[in-house]
Amino acid sequence: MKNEISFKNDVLPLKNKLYRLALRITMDTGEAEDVVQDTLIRVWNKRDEWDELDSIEAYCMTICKNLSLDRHEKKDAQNIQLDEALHDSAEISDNPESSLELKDRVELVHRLIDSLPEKQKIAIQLREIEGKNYKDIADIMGITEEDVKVSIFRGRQKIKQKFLEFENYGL
Amino acid sequence: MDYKYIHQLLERYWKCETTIEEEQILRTFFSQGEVPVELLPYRSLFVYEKELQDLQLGVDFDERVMAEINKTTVKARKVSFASSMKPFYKAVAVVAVFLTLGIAAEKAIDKNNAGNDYSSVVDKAGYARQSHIVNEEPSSLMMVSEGLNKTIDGDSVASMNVEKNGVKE
Repeated sequence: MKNEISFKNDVLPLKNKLYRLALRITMDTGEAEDVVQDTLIRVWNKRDEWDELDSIEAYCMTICKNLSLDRHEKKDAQNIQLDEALHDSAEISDNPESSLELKDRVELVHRLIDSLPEKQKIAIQLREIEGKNYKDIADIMGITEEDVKVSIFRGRQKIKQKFLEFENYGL
Repeated sequence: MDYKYIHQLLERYWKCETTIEEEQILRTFFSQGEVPVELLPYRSLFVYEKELQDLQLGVDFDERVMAEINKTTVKARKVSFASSMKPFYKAVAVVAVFLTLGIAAEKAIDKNNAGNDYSSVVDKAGYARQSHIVNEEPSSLMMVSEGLNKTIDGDSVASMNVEKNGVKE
């Protein structure tokens, strides 16, 4: 028997995962925050259907992804927003080992991931940042597990290739 | 320190052969201070991932969402004003049904009473008339039979006279 889902205990705590996904797609902190709020309200309004869901988290992520893509299509993305968000978060410079070079490289990673095709970008985000397994990613994205693996593989290969280019020639 | 395991993990990572746990090991490894030079180029990737994992919404977000949700709940109640009036409508309907039934019953009772009185009157009158008829029947019958008898007698006398006259003529 399924446990009863509580909005405050089971849905609301997903906000940061949703935010990171929305931010990855919209690349705008304000937009991402709005998307998360809309997602949560939409999920709340569908509370009669919670019992029928296999995973409330996958359900929330799917809604968040779709809303983010809708918004992203309507508005031109501005990468600088995500840069700011990243810098406003746990600062890399807090780490004594960090350096300006590392910061630059982190920004390079950020730009690399952002430059990936939408499918690869979302799949990489869900795998690398949220630690989702292939099946969950497939459920959230509405594609097959095989497609997920292919997307992540291609995304990683591109990142690796860019890293090697950076090492050899600089960017 | 032997980084062979990390090298192996990294190779498998590029080929998408690592598990989630192994990928987490890589992130933890690259986040710590001592990273060999040959692995440094990849450090930023895993550091970036780890940094992004810490990205969070502000503390006031929960309050705003809860306020919005309460608002939508209140709104939903407002929308369901018509349904909240249902008990009233039901009460009105019940009263209407009772009134209708009451009026119908009253009319039926009136009708019954009127019908009973009428029938009783009819019965009594009918009975009275019947009894009157029954009482009067013998005398009237007697009168009719007497009349008939007279007629028959008269006819027979007349026919006899005709016969006589005819014979005479």
